[in-house]
Amino acid sequence: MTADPYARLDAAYLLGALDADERLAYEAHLSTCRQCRAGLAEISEIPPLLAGLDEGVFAAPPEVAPAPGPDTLPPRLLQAAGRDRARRRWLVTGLGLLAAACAIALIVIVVPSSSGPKTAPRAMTALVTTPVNATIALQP
Amino acid sequence: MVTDRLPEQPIGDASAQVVNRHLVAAALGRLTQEHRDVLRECYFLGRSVAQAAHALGIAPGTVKSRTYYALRALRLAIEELRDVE
Repeated sequence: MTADPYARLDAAYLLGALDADERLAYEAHLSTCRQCRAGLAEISEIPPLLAGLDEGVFAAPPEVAPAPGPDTLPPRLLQAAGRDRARRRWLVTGLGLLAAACAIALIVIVVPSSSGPKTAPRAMTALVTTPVNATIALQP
Repeated sequence: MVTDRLPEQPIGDASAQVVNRHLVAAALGRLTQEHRDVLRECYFLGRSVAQAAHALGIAPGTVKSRTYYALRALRLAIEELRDVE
């Protein structure tokens, strides 16, 4: 840290933010202080570069600007994950039902055709163990 | 050949200024929000140290030192981005 009370004034001076008294005192000090003149020269070309910029560039950097509503992101992710799980559940359930329907159709079609001419009503038995069981009987 | 140089000079300067504006905006993006805030107050809004201090809720001395470091950080960021280009 420096003891010079004017050492940190160069930027405020260049930006025109010092009040009249302070500006005059700073300018008087500059004529006697080489270090402060050097400090001022270091950054004197920077403020003109700010001319013509939109106010938005002072608000937030575009690279790390928070997406609209950062709080809504986790709930959205959870919702999306939930939808995926629901889709998978329906797919598994649907395939299971389809397999069960195929098994029943096989029993209905194969068993009667392999039993020759029609006879008295007879009970049907499942050929294989399936998740879904059904009994069916034919009546003349 | 003298006629070639005259039109080129202003065109080159104009495009350099366009690049500068994007580069300066990108350089500002590298600053802390505190530094951007004091530059917005003191440069863009044209406020005095006292007004900026009031608006930001900080001491006038802090406005002075923040602008001091903000302009130096901005200068460094501009130089780094220029080197990248």
